Amino acid sequence: MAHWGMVIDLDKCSGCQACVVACKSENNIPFTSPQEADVGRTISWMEMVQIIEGEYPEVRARFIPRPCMHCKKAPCTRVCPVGATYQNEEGIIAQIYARCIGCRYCTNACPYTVKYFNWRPPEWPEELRSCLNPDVSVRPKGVVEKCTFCHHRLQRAREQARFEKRALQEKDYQPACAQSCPTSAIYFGDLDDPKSTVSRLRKDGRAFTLLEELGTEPRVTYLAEEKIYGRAVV
Amino acid sequence: MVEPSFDLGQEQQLLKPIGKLGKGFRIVAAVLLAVVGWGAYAYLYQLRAGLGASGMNRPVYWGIYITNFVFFIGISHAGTLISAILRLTQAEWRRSITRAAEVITVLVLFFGVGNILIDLGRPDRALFVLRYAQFHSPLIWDVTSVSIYLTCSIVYLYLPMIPDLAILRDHAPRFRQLYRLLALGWKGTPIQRARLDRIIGVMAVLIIPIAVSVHTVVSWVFAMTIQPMWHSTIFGPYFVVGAIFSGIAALLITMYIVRKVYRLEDYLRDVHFANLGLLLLVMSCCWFYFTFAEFLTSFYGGDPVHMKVFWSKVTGEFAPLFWTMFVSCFIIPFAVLCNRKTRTPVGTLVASVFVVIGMWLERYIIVVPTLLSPRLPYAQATYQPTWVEWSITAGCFSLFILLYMCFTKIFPIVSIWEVREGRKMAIHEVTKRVKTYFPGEIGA
Amino acid sequence: MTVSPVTDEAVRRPALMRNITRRDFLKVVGTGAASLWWCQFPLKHLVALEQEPESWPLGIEHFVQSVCDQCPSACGVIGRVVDGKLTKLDGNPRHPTNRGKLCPVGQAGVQLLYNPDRLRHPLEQSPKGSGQWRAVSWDDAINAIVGHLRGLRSRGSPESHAILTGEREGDFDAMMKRFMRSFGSPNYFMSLSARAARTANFLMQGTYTLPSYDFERANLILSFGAPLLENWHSPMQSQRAYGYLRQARRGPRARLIQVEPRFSMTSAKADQWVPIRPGTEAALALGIAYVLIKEHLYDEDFVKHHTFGFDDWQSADGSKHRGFMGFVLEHYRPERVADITGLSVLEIVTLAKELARATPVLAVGGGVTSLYSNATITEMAIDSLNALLGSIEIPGGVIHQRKVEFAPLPEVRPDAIALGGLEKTLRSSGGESVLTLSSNNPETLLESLLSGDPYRITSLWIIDENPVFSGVFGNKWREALKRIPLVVAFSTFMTETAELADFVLPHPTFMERGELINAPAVSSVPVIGLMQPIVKPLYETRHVAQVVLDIAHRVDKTLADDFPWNTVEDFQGGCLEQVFRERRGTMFTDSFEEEHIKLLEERGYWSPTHASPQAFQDDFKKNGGWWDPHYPMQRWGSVFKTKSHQFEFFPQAMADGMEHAHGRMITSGHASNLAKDLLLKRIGLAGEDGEIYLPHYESMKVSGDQASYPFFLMLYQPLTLTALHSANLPWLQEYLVAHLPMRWGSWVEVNPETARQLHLRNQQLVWVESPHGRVKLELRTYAGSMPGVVSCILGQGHTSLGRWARGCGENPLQLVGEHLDSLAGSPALLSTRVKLYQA
Repeated sequence: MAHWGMVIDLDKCSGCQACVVACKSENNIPFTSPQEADVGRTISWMEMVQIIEGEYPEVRARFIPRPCMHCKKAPCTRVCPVGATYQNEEGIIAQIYARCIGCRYCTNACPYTVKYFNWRPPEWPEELRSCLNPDVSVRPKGVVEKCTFCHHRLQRAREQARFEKRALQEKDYQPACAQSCPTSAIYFGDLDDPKSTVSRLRKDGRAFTLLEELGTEPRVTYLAEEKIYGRAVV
Repeated sequence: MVEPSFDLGQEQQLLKPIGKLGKGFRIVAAVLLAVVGWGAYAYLYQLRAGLGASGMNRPVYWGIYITNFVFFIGISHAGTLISAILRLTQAEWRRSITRAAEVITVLVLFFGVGNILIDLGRPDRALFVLRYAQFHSPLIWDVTSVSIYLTCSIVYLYLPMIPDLAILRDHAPRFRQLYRLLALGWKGTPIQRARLDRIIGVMAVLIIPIAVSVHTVVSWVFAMTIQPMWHSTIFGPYFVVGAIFSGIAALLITMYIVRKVYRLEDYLRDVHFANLGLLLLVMSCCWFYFTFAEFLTSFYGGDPVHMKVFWSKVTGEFAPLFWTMFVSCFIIPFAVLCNRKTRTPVGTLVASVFVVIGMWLERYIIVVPTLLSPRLPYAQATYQPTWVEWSITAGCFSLFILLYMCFTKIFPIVSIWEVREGRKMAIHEVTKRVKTYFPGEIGA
Repeated sequence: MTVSPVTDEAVRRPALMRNITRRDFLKVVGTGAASLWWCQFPLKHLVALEQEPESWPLGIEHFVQSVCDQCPSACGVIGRVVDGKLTKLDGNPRHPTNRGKLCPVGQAGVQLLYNPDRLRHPLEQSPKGSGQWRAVSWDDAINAIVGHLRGLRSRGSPESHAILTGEREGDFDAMMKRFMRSFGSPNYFMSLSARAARTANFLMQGTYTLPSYDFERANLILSFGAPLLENWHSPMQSQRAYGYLRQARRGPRARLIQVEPRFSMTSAKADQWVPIRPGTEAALALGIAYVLIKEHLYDEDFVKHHTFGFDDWQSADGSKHRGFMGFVLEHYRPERVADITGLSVLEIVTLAKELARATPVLAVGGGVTSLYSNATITEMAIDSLNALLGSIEIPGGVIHQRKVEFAPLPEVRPDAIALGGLEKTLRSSGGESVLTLSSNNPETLLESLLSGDPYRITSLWIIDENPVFSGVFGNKWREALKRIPLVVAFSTFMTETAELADFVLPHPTFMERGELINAPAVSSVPVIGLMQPIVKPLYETRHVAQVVLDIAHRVDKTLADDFPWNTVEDFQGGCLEQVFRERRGTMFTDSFEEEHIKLLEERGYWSPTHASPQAFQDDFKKNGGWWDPHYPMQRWGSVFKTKSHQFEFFPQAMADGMEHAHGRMITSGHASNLAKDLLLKRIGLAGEDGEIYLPHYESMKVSGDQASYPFFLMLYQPLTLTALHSANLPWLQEYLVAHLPMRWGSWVEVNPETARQLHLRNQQLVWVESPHGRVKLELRTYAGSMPGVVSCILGQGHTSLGRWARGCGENPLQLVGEHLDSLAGSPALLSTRVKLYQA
């Protein structure tokens, strides 16, 4: 059984947020009104985290695209009282919207704050409902949602492969963020396959995971910017 | 042996409120009902609009509903636990206050559980916690221990009430049918008495670990996560101490009001207040000790993630609340209660009011600041409870008071038979007990 | 023994069961049932919102390839259509510009298509500006327009008709040009980006286009404020190149150095950020040139063979001219440059040495530097670095656009009326823009709209352009539009400009129409993408090209004869036939095939792929586009189209233009010396005669003195607000910028230390005031802000456009003065000083 993982090369990432919008579009994530956005209720399964450090002129900026880390030892799945969030056999942290009771324990347990809550019923003007992705369910109000590594794409790809009587290949299944990334900074694939790009990149000297010290063992790995950590002269 | 039928005599005073609704009661009840109604409206509004009607957001996923939950569960330690401890230690002065305390527990537990339900995004799926229960989740531990606690508390309230119910069945002006049902045919026979004593004794022992477990488990909801200033090993005892602390304060306030309103100065005497006041003083010191230990550990460790939360409490945006809490939970009660002259009913009332407010703030300061300082940066957010949250909270408090008031109108708030029993047997029992302490005759 | 009050009967029966009659039982059960029902009712209606859809979708899915037109990059997209509805736009892996990738603006295209604020049918406003709109039929609208045009033709003044359009190249552009030529008006205006960069390219290299850059093979990119990772002319091209340069290519990882007064995304991601005093970039470029020359680090071979005006030289009339070398060595010692730019001498020297060491290197402008009042001269200074370093026409250097121009046969045959009209080109009436090299500027049009000189424009079409909102002359445009008898706006939304039109004709989005797009704006090789309808038009919209075709058929016979095509597709067929006859290139392929074809073409092979134009056209449609991946380097004969056919450090075109203007002034009665002085003063160039033509540093014109207005105002357009309508797409508003957690609005970025000195707090509302106005904005402290510079985003503050754009943020253009870059004639958006104070 494959275990899916992602590698994001921060040296390549330009912070353009194509991944963020691609995710929004692919996963029927409702946009929030300015008022709701002001109080911090924007839902972004994929989010651009900015870290600006230092003082002028010695300023350093890091832009970190942050999907769900799909931790091997996920703090969120442990605390769910009803098993609405769980780790499936392929390592994807899944969310059962129809079971979630909306207690938001998992959102608080997640050290990466990647889980989002539907504070209000999802709303679109009638016209904009047309562009909803029929492969992804629209979440009702009151439940928690999160990045699924575009799990529906995996199902499609698997069906397609079965139909074509062949094994599932790495390129068959790419989440929307990886597909859109203009600088090709996002890699996705099977961590169990030692030959896959992600497996190779995870061994790179620049590789690190977010909040490594917590021991959550994320399946999303980052490659550090060379400017900051690497060989190049500063 | 207590005769099943007797002249109420001195205890007539305790039956006075039963079934009589005075003008004052009606006015207060009407006001409370109005607040409850408003709270209910706010909740319906929230049901319709979603939890967006609250001030919660990302990352502050929990707000004052959870604060209320922890607070109410804490208050619940007023009754059952204290009463059980006093019973087991055979503290004779307990007799007139146990009932008042136990009622608080039972009523307030409903509000604890209620606030969790109010906080759910999908209250319609609340029963999923039974259907799909995942025992690795601390919330399920909570559900388990709170429901056991609630059941036991109800039983523990009910059992010592049976003899009183029988009295009411015979003497109450109204509701005799109800009392007859509830009295379960109590006749006060020696066998019945022996059984009752025995079962109350067993319950008193049982209830203590359960009560301790309840608030420990509540604290574990927080402590089991790896969030800064939640993930702490002392959270269990810290919460229990806080719970008993706030519970005693709530009990004192209740006692003061009951005594004032029903003129029970003879039963709820200054010594009760002084004794409980001392207990409050001890708990205040314990609370200070735990708070100090908790904060010092975080501070000394200096983990930047923890320190962010730490400073937000101590000097940052929560500093006003934090220091108000500190003054209310420690400075004021300590100052008032360590002096015998101020350890009067009024003095303990003042201290208790501050403690209750302070402990609510303490719960708030535990819940919110940690959430506001997650490990990864995020778009700026703050937490400002909305009118919906305040209304529901006010509704909860009002309904609690209202229910308590109603209870005092239906059941004697001071245990009649226990007081009588005390009057009759206390000297005998105490003498017997004290005899076991020393050789020779007592008073010789 | 006392008597128990409990009766015998009661003892026999359990207490609970006593006295419960059947009636009681029914009561209890009934109440219970009722309350259960009551509990059920509100829960179902108040909580559970999932509703079963009335009918399950069939889920019939297909994919359509097309081209996005939201910026000049024109990336290839694939639309996923399910049951006739577009659910997602992805990049087209076969499109060479973006190779399957797509920026956030492109992704948000679906929100453009299904935007609830789109115009749905033609509207007429009468009286103009009243806001009283009336739906009209297409026929009525076209009739009114045709009537007006006929009148112009019959009165012999076809030049009174003008068109203003946004930047786009392809069959649409060809059709407009053709229409105007056939109709007889020279007044076809396109709003072009980075006009200063184009002008500099024209002066030094001879073509009025943006230079192309071979980023992928460069070792070091020295960007003078080029927004490579933001709204670059082709964001996808520069972003893909960036990713490639960082980690994907073999060999050394390329470095990016960003010289910019703002810590932009590009600065943040660059290896080095050089914060420079705004408007002094030219001085830095020349300071670097000084070091390169002084240390003999420049490419002497290239300079010797391919440049003009490096050494001192003598013109045909015998007058001596100072060369670039002598000029730079005399004036741009690093000490002086350090004083001007605020950088240290060490930094300047290090930069120069690094450039010399890292070849091939690229000096890139065309962003921030194109928005100053000294823009053209600055772009020239930047360009001259490329020449000094020999980075022209080499792999990893500056290359040139070699596009296929569309001009389908038959040729236009303007009649006498048209010929008369075509001669009457508008010309700037003098003043600052004497030297404006291209008078084909929207500002020239505006000037004559307002003055009525040399003639009145009575009909104006504005196509997908919003000058009232997006320029510094917004108020003037407002004024001008009111005076024109017939203004027709072709627009997808009711923009601020469309609000002042007589007719607003709804324009389909790129997902609903067919067009050939010549793309991208900065590509060196021709890439022709096919935009085709992904879904059926949602509303009563019509493609402008089709409308123009219909109008042409109906105005009169001359025009009808010049437009022998019934539909836009036929016209496109004509365009494609031209491409077919180029006899090169290939249909869009995957990247492997691309390399193969490149190799073949480099060796001079090309195999004819299609038998007939029709076969070519069919294949083109199937593949979504055509391109020629091969770029032949160093065809020196055709590279530089200057007078000397070399790279001109001394732009002779500029000197000639000046001479010409000078001549005109003498004939109009000025004495020669006086005229020259006056001329220099008007165009605002300082320096000795002769040296003004050389790339040099000019201090820029700024509104507001430093004492009263201590901060320079940097305006920047984030990638997300690139397109005209971007502000009305919720996704783009939600993810405006990445460097600050800001959504839905605008703000002013201030250095934290500066804010402290002003006693202003983060997130506080402040007034930002310039001599021209003030706006209230939220203050955001940002460590990347230079002290003395504050920044604000451009593209917000719409008063129209739609529900999400309206009232979201402020338009900072109201703070900006009307300075122009004197050579390119383009408005200088970065020319304002402001002060901040508490609101």
